[in-house]
Amino acid sequence: MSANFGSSNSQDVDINITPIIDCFTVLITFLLASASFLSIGFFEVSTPGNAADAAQTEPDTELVVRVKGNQIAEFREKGKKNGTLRFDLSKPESIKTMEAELDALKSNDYKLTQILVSADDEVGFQSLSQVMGHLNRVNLPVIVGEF
Amino acid sequence: MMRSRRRRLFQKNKAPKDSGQMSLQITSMADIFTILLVFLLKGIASDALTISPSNGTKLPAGVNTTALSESALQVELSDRGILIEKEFVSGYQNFEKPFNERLTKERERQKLIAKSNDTVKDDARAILLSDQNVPFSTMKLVLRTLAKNGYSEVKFGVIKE
Repeated sequence: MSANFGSSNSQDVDINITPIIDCFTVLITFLLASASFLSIGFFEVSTPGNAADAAQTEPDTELVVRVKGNQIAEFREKGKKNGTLRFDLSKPESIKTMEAELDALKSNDYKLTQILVSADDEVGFQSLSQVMGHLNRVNLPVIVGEF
Repeated sequence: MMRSRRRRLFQKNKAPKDSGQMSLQITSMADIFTILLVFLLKGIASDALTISPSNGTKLPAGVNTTALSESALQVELSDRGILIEKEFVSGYQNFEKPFNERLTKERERQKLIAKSNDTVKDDARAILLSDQNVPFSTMKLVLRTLAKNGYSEVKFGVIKE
């Protein structure tokens, strides 16, 4: 008498995954074709017509930023702080100085409430968006137009 | 003797004669596909509002941007001309009149919807996707026309840096 264990009772189950692969291939192709790999961010701006809503309180200092054709951002400050500053957008140290100036203007000393942005006619949107990115750091309403 | 030994070795390495069926191991491929599928589905689910410019429009890069929370009227300044909701409106030569007419039409359409649906109100928001080379002189006129038609809150679209 002998017991027969093993080979005849084998429990190997083979799942056929070929249809799953077929479905996945179609799905992935569709998703890759429809996906957009560009991540778009936004700058919120107001037009001059809406300026009254943006500035609820009378600011101590008014800031007009003008983007010049030669990659220069000109800050014209009026009110408690007066003067004109120029920053070269092609130089990182100049951008740092510009950001420090913005932080100072936002502080309690000057109470800046909004930023007016303008540019020379020939200046492209690329230069404008570069400046606006740095202006957005201080989280103040930005008004774009001719000032 | 050496030759016969070599022949034997060679014969040993020969593949056994079978039925000719080949089984391809596709389990790892299924794993890769599953990961890819999950990644792509997650990407689609997280970008509830996706906005893309038309072909030929190169958006500039920008830092400190915000995400788009709600949809709005999409105005595009491409290299060819102005598009509203992906529909070509005009080239850059004397664009003010056709652009203004199209915006007025959009506004009227909104008012018509607002009449029958109380939750819909005049929307002051617009999304502006502009090519990086569009001059400020054009942008200025576009913004002025938008403001004239009640679109005072504009969102400039840029590529996140």
